Amino acid sequence: MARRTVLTLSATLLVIAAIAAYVFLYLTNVPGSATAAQTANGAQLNLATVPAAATNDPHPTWVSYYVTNGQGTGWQHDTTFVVPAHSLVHVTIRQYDSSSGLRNPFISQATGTVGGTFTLDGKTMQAINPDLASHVFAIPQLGVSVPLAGIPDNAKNACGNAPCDPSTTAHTTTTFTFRTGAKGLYRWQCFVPCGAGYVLDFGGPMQTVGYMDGFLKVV
Amino acid sequence: MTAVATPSPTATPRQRNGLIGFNLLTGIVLGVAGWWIAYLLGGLIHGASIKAFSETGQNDIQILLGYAGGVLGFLAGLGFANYPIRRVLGHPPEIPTHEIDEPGLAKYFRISTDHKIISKQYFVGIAIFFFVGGLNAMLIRTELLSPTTHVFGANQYLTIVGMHGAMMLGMMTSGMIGPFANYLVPLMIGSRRMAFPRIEALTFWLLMAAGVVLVSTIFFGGFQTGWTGYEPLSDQGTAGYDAYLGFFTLVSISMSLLGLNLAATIVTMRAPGMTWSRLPIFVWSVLATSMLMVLAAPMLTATLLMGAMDRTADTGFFLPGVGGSAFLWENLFWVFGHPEVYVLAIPGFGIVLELLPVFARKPLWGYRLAVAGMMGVALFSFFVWQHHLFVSGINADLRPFYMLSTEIISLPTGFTFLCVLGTLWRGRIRMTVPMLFCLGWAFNFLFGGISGVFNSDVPSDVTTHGSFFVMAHFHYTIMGGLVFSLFAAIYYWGPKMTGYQFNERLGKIQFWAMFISFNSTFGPLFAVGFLGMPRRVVTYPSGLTGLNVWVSISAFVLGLSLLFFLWILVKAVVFDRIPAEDNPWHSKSIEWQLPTPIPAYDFNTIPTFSGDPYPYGEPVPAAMGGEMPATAGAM
Amino acid sequence: MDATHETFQEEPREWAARSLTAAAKMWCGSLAFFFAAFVFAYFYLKALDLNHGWTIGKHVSPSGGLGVAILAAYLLSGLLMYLAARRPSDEISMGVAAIVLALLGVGLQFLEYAFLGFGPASGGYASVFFGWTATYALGGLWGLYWMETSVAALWRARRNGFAQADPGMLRNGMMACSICWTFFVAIGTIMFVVLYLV
Repeated sequence: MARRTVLTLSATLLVIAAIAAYVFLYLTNVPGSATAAQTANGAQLNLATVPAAATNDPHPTWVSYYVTNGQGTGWQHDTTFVVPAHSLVHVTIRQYDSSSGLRNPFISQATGTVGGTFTLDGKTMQAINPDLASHVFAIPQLGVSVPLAGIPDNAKNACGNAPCDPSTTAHTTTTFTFRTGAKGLYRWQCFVPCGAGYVLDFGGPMQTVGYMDGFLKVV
Repeated sequence: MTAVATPSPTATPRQRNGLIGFNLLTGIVLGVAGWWIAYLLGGLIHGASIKAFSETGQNDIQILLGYAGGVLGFLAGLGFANYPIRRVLGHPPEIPTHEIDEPGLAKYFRISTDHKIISKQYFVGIAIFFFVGGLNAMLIRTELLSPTTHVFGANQYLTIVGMHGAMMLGMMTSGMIGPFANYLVPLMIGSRRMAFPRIEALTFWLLMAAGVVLVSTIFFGGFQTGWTGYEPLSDQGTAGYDAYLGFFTLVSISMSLLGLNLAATIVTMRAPGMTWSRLPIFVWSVLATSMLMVLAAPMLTATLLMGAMDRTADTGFFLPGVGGSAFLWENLFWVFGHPEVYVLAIPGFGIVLELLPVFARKPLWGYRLAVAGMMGVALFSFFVWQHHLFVSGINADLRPFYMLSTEIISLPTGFTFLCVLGTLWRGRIRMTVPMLFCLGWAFNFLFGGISGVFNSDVPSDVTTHGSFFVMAHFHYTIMGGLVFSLFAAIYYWGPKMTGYQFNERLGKIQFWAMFISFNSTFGPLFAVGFLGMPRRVVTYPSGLTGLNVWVSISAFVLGLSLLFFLWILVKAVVFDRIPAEDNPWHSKSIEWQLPTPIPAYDFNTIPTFSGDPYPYGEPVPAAMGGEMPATAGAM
Repeated sequence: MDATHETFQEEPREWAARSLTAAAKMWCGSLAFFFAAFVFAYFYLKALDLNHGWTIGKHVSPSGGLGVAILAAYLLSGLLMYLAARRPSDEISMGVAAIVLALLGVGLQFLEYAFLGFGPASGGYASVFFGWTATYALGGLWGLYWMETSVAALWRARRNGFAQADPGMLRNGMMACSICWTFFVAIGTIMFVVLYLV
């Protein structure tokens, strides 16, 4: 009987260990989150988009969003952004990828931002040339959509993999402000088909949280 | 009958029980080696998908070849290559007809051609993956405790949902057939074996390989398509989707072969006197299921190969940009998928109808009606698939036909219910644990069936499609139907299969815990669906939090009730070890006339059948020595 | 209930033969449904012609000559296997010829790919063409294995004067194989009509 008890307990422990490992594998794949910095007139979110994630990333060939600090350094690979409810969110996106163009020119214009505008390299605009778009930052539930212009195809000092140095590599800088509503979880995503190599460019990073989409966690 | 003088069964050489040789350990070692060799070779192939490789970092050719190499290595390690190689060299076919009793557990970890051993391998193997699928369900309900994401990300959630669905609908296809049809069909028809014992073993080991392939998706980013693998999401999917393709391909091959083997056995290997009108109703249900498996599963294999070719060979079956269509997948998948639902359900019909006469002490009411019902369901199941596409932009003129064909299928299903009620009517009912599970089946399947009519009706389907209402419906039919009848079978035949008694009181506690928690879990989901909560979405409106929390807590209790069963099983087999009686239920079926445990060779002589298959309630003939009514003579 | 040499009764000998033949016929059902998926794909995609993508490019049409050669090889192979299973006197020679012709059919199929002039991405037709013919060729390899084992067993048994094998069982194996193989060839004929003539 003692032998059977030991065997049964051992088997039970083995199963529990297997279950723990199974759950752990899932949990360790969950993208983390980044909290927007608080300023006197709202929250400040600094982001970057790159043509390829870091070389040590599980998908080093995928385009991706990153969180940075105000200087464009301190790169963090998270796409869940924590922002306060009923407040202004100022967003700065440094864009290091080249243009891929839009299939739907309508989304080359900004919507849902304060004033209906954004700035591209310091210049206030309402839309960009659809052929120059590289990515889009859109939060459909809030009606926010802002196009991000790409760097020229022949840029000499184009960045390869993240992290990119804003002082030495080519990029465009887009800023805009939008207002959050009630607390909740809001999906954001890029609408430019940029999953190169996948069918219709919609696979891979386009359908994986942590790359070209994520969540806005309004708290 | 031809009685051929042969050597005694005990003359069959024994296999070695050591670690060295063709067994599971060797299978795993060669499986891993096969994976790496094929994976590395795959990296050298410059196929069509390679042009995408530099951009995506994903080489589907390499991964799919890796799976193929791994499975082939695994099977070779188990010894499945030995016989085919002998045949290529011109050796004559060898049919293993003499099984021997072997002590110890080693026989369970290698190829066996004894249908009883294979059925136990199936039971344990499928139980492992059933509990993995159940664990996924617990993870889903944990996530849905909150209307926002709080434990898993959206991708992980979708992968867990897909894993749960694929595991349950893929592996559990053989959940009933694997353990019970393999064990009972030869016994019930008076044969000592299945028609093709090696193929019987192969179907089991293929299924185990499939389960491992599916779980490996975790290491490749998972798949976000759910168990249906819908296009174009699947063609766009990451490498984790290759695991889905590999898994279902293996499952579909295993299904086809299992169905073929069972059908051939039933059609050609019935003992003298086992006429079609004496065939046990469970065997009829297996025959109906087998025909579905033989015909429907190859359609899935072909569909999956198309998907694999899209991802590796640059074809465009499902890509509108190159002349394909995503709806081609939907059509082909459901041509298989709807019969698949009945592959899960019909064996449950057979189990319940087989058990009710025993516990109502009455002959089965409407034997021919029940047979017609099951065969009718099997036949009609091929003509209903487009009801899954009612909201997919199909030609509106097609809708009435598929609506009617789907509604008509409730008629043969109704036959089964009629036979259940007719058998119970004025019976001397014994409320044993198997009987409770049979009655639980009737209650649950009724709700599943009635809610199915709403889904088959176009106007109501367009409002409920893709919602939790549909989810509740099919859980009532699959879990409420298949799993409850599965437990009825386990409690009924378990003592015969294991040789030990199960605790009746604990079994009743488990039944009530499972029955109440099941209904408490899936009943409210009808309401959740009507209130607009879609399936496969990680978040939901906060107004539905209360219902979802209720459902999650009920689901946890349901999970605990299943774990409690594990304890009952372990207690009976490992600790109590009370030998089971030969025929504790006073059944008149042949398997209960054999000693417990049943010897490896089943019968000493081939039995002869005569009389009615369910002579309950009738006086037992005085002279039972010659030919026993409904069951077997010489054994 | 003890199984002893005296009391143990063998199963009826005809069970093994009948089960193999029955399984062969059922296997034909499986083959029919497997390839029905490609028939469905062909007509479904052709009818939809999404984005005018049924054929992309100018020369999406396989060589009729090679198609006829492939079909002829399979048809002859099927006929010879049919006869081999029914004429014990010629079973080895006809069986070997059937195997050689089946091998030729599979080989010609791969040769056709090399000179096709269009690729799998040349539209819906091309997808069905490659998918159907490639899986058919794989099925041909499976048929080759079955035919080889059937013929090899007979050849080996004949050499030993049927000392260790039952000629009835072996010939029944040939019969089961011929049922499946001729059915498979019939599917190939339908494939030729659909892919080359429709």
